[in-house]
Amino acid sequence: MSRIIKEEAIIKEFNTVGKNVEKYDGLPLVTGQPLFTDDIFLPDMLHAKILTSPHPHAEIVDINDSEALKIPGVRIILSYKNTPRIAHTTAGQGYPEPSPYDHFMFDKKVRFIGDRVCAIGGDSIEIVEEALSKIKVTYKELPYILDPEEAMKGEVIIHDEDDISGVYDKDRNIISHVEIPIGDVENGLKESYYKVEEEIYFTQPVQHTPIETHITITYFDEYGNLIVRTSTQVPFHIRRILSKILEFPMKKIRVIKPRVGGGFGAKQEMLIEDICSLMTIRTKKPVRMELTRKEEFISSRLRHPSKIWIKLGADKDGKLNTIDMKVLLNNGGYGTHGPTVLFNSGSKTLPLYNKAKNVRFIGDAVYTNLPVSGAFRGYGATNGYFALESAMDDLADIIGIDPIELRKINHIREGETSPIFEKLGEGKEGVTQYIESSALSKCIEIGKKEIEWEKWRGKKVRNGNLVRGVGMAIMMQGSGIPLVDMAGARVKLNDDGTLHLFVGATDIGTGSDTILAQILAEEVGVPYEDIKVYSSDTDNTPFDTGAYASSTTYVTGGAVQRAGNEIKRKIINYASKLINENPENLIIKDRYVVNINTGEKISLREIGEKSFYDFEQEQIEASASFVSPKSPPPFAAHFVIIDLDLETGKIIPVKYVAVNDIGVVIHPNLSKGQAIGSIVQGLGFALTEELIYSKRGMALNPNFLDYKLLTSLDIPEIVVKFIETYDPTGPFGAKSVAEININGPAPAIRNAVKDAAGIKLNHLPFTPEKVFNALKEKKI
Amino acid sequence: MLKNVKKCFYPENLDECLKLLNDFKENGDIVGGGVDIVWRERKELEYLIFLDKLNLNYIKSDDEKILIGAATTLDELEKIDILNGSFRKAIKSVATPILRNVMTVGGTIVRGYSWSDILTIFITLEGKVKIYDGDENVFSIDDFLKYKKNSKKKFILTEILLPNYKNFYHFSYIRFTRTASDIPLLNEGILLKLNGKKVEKANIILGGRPGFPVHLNKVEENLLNKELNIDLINYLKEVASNTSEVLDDMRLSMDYRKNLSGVLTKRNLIKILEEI
Amino acid sequence: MIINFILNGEEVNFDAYPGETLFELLRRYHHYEVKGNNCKTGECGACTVLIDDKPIPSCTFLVGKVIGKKVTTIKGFGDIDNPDLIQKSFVEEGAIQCGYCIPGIIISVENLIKKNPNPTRDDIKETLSSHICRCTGYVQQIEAVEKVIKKIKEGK
Repeated sequence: MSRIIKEEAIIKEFNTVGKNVEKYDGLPLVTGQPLFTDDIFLPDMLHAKILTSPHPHAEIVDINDSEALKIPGVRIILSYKNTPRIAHTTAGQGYPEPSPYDHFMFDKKVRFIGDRVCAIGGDSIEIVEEALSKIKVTYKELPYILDPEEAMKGEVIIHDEDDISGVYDKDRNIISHVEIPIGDVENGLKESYYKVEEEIYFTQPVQHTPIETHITITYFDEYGNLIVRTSTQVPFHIRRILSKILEFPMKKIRVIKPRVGGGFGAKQEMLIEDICSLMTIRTKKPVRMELTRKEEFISSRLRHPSKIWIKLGADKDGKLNTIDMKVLLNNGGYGTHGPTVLFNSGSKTLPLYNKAKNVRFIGDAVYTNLPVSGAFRGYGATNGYFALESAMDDLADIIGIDPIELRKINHIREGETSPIFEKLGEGKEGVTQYIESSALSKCIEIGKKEIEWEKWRGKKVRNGNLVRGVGMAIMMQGSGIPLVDMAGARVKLNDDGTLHLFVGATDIGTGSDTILAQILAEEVGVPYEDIKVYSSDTDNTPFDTGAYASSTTYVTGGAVQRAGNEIKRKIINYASKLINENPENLIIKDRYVVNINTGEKISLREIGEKSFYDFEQEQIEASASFVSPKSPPPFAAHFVIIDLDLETGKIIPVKYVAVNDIGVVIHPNLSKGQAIGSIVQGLGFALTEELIYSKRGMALNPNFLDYKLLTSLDIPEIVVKFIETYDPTGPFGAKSVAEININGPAPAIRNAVKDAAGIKLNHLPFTPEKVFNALKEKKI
Repeated sequence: MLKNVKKCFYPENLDECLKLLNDFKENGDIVGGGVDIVWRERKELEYLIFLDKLNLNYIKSDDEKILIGAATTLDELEKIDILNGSFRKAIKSVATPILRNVMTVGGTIVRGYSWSDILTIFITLEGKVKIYDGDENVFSIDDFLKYKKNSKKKFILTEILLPNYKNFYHFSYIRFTRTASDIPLLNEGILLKLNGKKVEKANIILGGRPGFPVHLNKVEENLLNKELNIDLINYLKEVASNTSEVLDDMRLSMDYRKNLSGVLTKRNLIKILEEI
Repeated sequence: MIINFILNGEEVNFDAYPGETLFELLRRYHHYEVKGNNCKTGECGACTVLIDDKPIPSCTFLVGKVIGKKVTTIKGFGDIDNPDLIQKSFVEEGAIQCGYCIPGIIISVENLIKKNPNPTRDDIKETLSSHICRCTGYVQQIEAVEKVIKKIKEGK
């Protein structure tokens, strides 16, 4: 890992930040401790399952549960007949959510194969499954529509309810529409010396496939509080939504997030917590629901399948002057994150080429009768970058320059801004941003060297039936949502000199508990081992929006750093009274408060003890919140070498290089893990993953047999490098790393294949058959 | 969970086992590895018959043949060192290491999915199966598949017989997959008996078509008594493409499978050519 | 039916449903022994345990086959105060993110190293291919195993 010393800000060597401290939950996880939602034993627990719709679009005329109720052990059946009808969004976002309120706990209509019809709670899963088979539902089938362009014609209306809100145009199934014109795109294109005439790109539906599916257990505690123990990214949003839609007082709801077995955006939802909660409220018993893998594929969330049109115009010297981008998202039966994913497909991509005078972004998120798309790592940027970075590569071909050169001429630099920042926010206008830290140029240089770009580019080196190509892509993301994401942190001193850190921040395997403890340790000047972290409990920890938008390091880290600063001040103040010394002469070091002049020291343990029992007693603690007007983007440059098997069309990734600027790296191994994990997910998105639907919208491969994830034998050599910068607004200079790298593989591979064989692949994923057909058409 | 299963049985000999199968009819079945039974969640099963006491887990060999007990797990087959390690390599490409520890060779043949690697491999190697249905019979695998389809009788597959291939025999197996641990979307096994470079015998078996494994007859015809060389191999690639009987399915199109049959044939033959 | 076998060195007997799998049995009685989604196909490998010293996905293994066998779960290896070399290495190399797939992987790796103390990178990748990890992308897990091998060669 390299450390760059900038002229203005020197990155110093830290004590804890920048070190590979032991992951907070590492040993418990590797020794199989009971850490996850399901690792709890509650007597008399009921099991719940949902009956899902066999039709893509239908009215529920009646549900006859009389036969099901006769089965011994069936305790409760929920449907539209006996549940509150309160419109809401399932999306876990800040309130009021920028998403339509178009979802009901149980509606009288179903809008995709897999939609909720009713739910049964019973003594065992077997009893519940038998009861589900005895439910008789009378449907009135309605015409259905799976293609968003067709859906926009309005011949079939998917949401016609009177009591929903926030939909842009119900009659044309348009959840969200955005049009941002800057400058004059038509003229700009006309006058451009070089053009990419319209190119159209298609991305496919993919699923997060967390190895732990959605699982929730609800129960009443001794005080009559509803405890919602759930595998989620957004505990506080869930508490708020449940209170509203169940009409149950928020003060009696406590949401606890145990260890989570992966989220990636699928769990940025209130997905099944409502059903379990209501069943517990009514039966007074604990209720457990776990989605099967098939249900996870069909009835949870996906990445939006999308169609993206791009036109580019450049001057004679390769400077981009026009970008015209149109995005169409196939949202499925409900809106959820549609509007914000739509905005992000432009807001996280277009600023990268900030100097184009003419930019137009048009977007639509549209209802169809397919399973629902929502948040997925990258959050629209992944779709956008596939299109934009592919088109940029094509532009380089047209101009006749190296694609790296084209990026160098055009990418955003430190000190610069883009009009897109203020025009495109989270479903509404955004916030002006200036880039205060960027090592993108350096990332490009270093990556280019590591991949040996000159050695492979354009050479089409053959090895039997393999031809080699190299491709690249650059990208940025964000760090939290400016002026929207807020986090709180609280710290207290114990009488053994250790600290407890309370954060709402949601560790879903990312390691946020670890890095937040590191930030606190660094700020206060205590060892990492002396900090205990409690997180994600809506009763016992401060608020946090949750694990999304790459916000935890930057936003929660900011709160933790401020709380740490505050408690350091308080400890020093207390010590100064104890030993009668000017606080300005005191520092905290190695578990002691030390007088920098005399060397006199007093241990934190002694301070803790005296503060509890002996001298001007108080509980020394501090809390702080942080919300930022800034969202400093991380940057990355990706490079990939592929071998293309000309006889089969199979793309074999050989070496993948990702060079990241994520600000200061708090924990090298965890950051590397985020990068590599994102890259492998991105490779799956590029090469093998795809949900396939029948003509009626039924998922044909909701299982690992036919939805293919890359295994350890399929991955290339992956090299990840971090070029550190110091962002002045981030905790110790850090930005974020959680999402950015998933944006690279699809365009980088597409561009590498073009280098190898001259074919342009615009449809994801690049299956061997698709590639083979493209080769055949080009007569290779 | 197979919720309707009432009882597990551990018969001590084949006749006892057969009697149980006949008594239980479609409500009972033999458990090999059990992987398929659990996956299929067969609701009609009320009785499970385990083979633990029948001693069907063995690998014995003499000069001519290798005898494999039907309950032998696939990982044990990796120990069979014939055909220059290419048999072992083929077995190691099946499923994943942990699944090979529980799947039995008898179970996979009886269940006989048309894309099964084991079927293609064993048909290529002219494996035979011994079954007991009151009488003991030995079938080629093709005949066994027919027997299974047509016979009304209950049977137990007890043993698999493989010729103990020595000199002059060469084997290669390729499976086309989407990711490394995938089921094969098309697979092919080739067994050649060579005298120098001259082909005296050729089995070329294409499976996962998506139909059951069959001989590529035209390729075999064009190989016999010829000298194996690159030009012949390139020609046979075309023959394979043109004559293979393949179909569309959700995973691959017919046209692509046709092209792929040629590619697999070429690659298998090149591997054998490089060996000699 | 009563199933008796040896679980992590201890003789145990459980009252099992005849048609259930070892995964379902362990989750019912010894709640924390094994993780998984009960996919019943063995395709993600998270529920892997050792049965007679072979790593096997417990969600595919009918209890009728367990009688008399030796079963080892993650609890049969190190614990928080005393993790073994492989477990420590995984923590140190960043090979754990959400950790849900980890017990199964540890078991496969323990088996690999026991049977082959000097595996190649390809051997390691082959062992890991039984397991799906959606978080790490496998690289740091391969590195963790290589670190273990290096340590063993150096004499721990």
